[in-house]
Amino acid sequence: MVSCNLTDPTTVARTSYPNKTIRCLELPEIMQHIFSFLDSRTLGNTVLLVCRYWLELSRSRMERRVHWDYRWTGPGLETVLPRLCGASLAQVCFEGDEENLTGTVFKDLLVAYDNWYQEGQREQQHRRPTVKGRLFNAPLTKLEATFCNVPMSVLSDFPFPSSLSSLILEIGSSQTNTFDPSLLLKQCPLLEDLLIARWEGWFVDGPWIPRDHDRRQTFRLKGIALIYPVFRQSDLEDLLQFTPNLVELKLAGVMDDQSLEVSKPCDRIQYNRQGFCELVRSLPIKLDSFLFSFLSPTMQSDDGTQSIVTELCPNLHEWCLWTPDTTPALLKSLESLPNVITNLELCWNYLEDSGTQPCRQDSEAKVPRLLHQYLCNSPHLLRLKSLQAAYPLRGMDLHRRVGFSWLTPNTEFPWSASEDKKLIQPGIWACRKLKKVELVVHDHEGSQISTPVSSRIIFGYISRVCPELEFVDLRVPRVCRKDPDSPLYQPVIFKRLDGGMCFLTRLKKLQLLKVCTEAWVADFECKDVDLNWLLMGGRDSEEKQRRKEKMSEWQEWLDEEKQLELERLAFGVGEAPILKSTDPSNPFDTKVYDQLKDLGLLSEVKAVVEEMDREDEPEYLAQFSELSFGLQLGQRPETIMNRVFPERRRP
Amino acid sequence: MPVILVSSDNQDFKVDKEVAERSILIKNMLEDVGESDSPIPLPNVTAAVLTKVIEYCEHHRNDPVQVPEETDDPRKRSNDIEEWDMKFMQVDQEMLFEIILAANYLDIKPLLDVGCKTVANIIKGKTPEEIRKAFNIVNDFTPEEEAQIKKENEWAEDR
Repeated sequence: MVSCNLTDPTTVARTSYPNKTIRCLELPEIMQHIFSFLDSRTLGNTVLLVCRYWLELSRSRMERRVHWDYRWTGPGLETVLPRLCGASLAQVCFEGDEENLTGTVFKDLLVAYDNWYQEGQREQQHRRPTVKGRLFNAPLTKLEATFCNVPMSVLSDFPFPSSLSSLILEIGSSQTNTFDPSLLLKQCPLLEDLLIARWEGWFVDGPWIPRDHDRRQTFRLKGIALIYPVFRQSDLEDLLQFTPNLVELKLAGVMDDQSLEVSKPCDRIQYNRQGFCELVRSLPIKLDSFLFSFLSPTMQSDDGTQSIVTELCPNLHEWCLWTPDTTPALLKSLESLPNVITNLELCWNYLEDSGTQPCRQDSEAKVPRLLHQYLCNSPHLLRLKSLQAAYPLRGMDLHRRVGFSWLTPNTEFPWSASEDKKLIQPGIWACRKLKKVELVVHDHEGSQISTPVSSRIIFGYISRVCPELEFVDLRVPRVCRKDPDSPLYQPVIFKRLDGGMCFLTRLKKLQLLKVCTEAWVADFECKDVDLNWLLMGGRDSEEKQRRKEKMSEWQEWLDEEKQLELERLAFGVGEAPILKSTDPSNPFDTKVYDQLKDLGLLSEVKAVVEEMDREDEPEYLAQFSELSFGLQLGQRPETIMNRVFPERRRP
Repeated sequence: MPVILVSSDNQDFKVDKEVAERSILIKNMLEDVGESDSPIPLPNVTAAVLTKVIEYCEHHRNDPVQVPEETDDPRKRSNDIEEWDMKFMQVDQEMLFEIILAANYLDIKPLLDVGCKTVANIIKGKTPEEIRKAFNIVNDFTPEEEAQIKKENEWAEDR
């Protein structure tokens, strides 16, 4: 417990500054304004520790996070979750069943947390000082919970804290699929953002509005996202009458009761999308984002997604696309919209997962080509999420070097200008200010995604084209086969040094990196020396020497690469076409194209490693704080490295 | 029509009305007094600082009036300072803080933002000790208190 001196503002004296010109640092309103431009990391690591006055001014700004994932090895849930009190964000991922969840620590802790929170509220009302207060006593406002093997009905009356303003519930496989939203809305009156997803479909059981709700009161909801739901349209329409602040409404992969076996009998579920849209249009709400897509193409009405969305969302800045709706006309309309689209998310039909998603639908939906064209034409995007629809590796392979891995000098270069015209033409994304990318990259036309060259292209491209990235989540499909008769294989993103992940040291603002590839088997030669550069401690002279020795083993490859490069140019690939923006106001970026001249080459990795290991120790990855090599939540890079390489050298 | 501003050290500055009105304080004062050519005293701003403030307002005289920011990012950015503003803010620390105080007093929000962003950028990447040194701040924590703050703020997984 902290001393009462630190938590009681009356005991905090203003710091006196010897220099009178710095008196503005004494003015709380100016200090608060300065702190408003600082990130949580800077606030937590430095500002809090400067002096008592700064601590007092900044601690209310702290967004402390608690996170836990059952797939981690390390501290148990019982150890971690008591820290919920005073944290404002919790990200948790559970596996369980009804029996062990209802009695679990998580449920008990949520009850305990809510008691703690309510007590604090009462104390505040009675203006009694909180002598037992924690330093960081923010209410828990955001909860992101993933439950695997947890019956959905259990979650209906789960003791979600009443302080929540944002709740994301993702449910993996579970025995039951019904959820009563009225209990949740009653429990969490401050809720503003709600996302519920169950990948196998779920049934909204009962009306949204609690039975005893005072109908003069409205709900605070600003965002509702339901993924793969079955719902009674009239119930949701009833709720929308009481959500005047709603700006985001996503109903993705809506199912009917024929598509989902619900646990209890119900009336026949039917939808009228046009009627729903007309109702939304008549309500006094202005949406920024809207999606109402059906799971099955047979359920689709033909009232035109494009016109619905543009009419319903006058302040549109985000598109959530259902891949079957992703037509050339629709993407074209995104570019021509008067509003600027900053967030783009592509959803996909999980239920057709045959174990090879998201690569299977590539050739059917033509989504990869359209996505690539959009990215090369639209400059405004800040956040891109496409984890179910794959982005084509070819779109990044500006110099057609992807095949280098299988070639030896004097073999015929597998390229011709006429063949090239039929394929996706590589190009440079116009969204140069992208901050967040969550992307599955793939090449369905062959197993070319599984080579160090392809990894070098991905990392090299991303790091040059989007230098502002803060959040990078790169994946490949779990498995792929080119056609039904071909054997399955596991695509890989190589984390080895020669895979070029170190190109990401170019990203000055990188905070979180996820590189998810299930096939560690194919990347089996990856050792700690390949990845130690990710850590501050992996940059001492011994580690630099180890990297140097590793690179000295590459000489034969580098010689081969030189020869292959000569042959590539002899084939005329140097003149191969590049997809260029059709928008004259958005001209082709020749500077970046020039920076990418060595894209895919091992020699470029060598140059980058030599650059980061320079004797004057250039700073890189200064903001980097979170890493994951799988689907699990990110952890501190040191934690991950110690887990993956328990024998690694620890400087 | 020009307006005459008088600094705390009694120096007169003749500036265009539209330049002076970048300051909401001055704009309101002019509206209150109506058509008048009386000088406006600014007792909290020295001539040296007022010169800088006027330079800023001259450069930004045609900027649209700033509307309250609507962003989905609760934390504001400090890395979007325009090139001219960045050069303008290349002054010694004493002057930087004087400009911030003046912008606050004169109610010139864009100038206050640029000043505070500049200070935020000075703070970023520094250790607590480096910040204390930069701003002449005395560490008034006991070692136990420092340890307590670190412990309470650590990530859950750190234990």
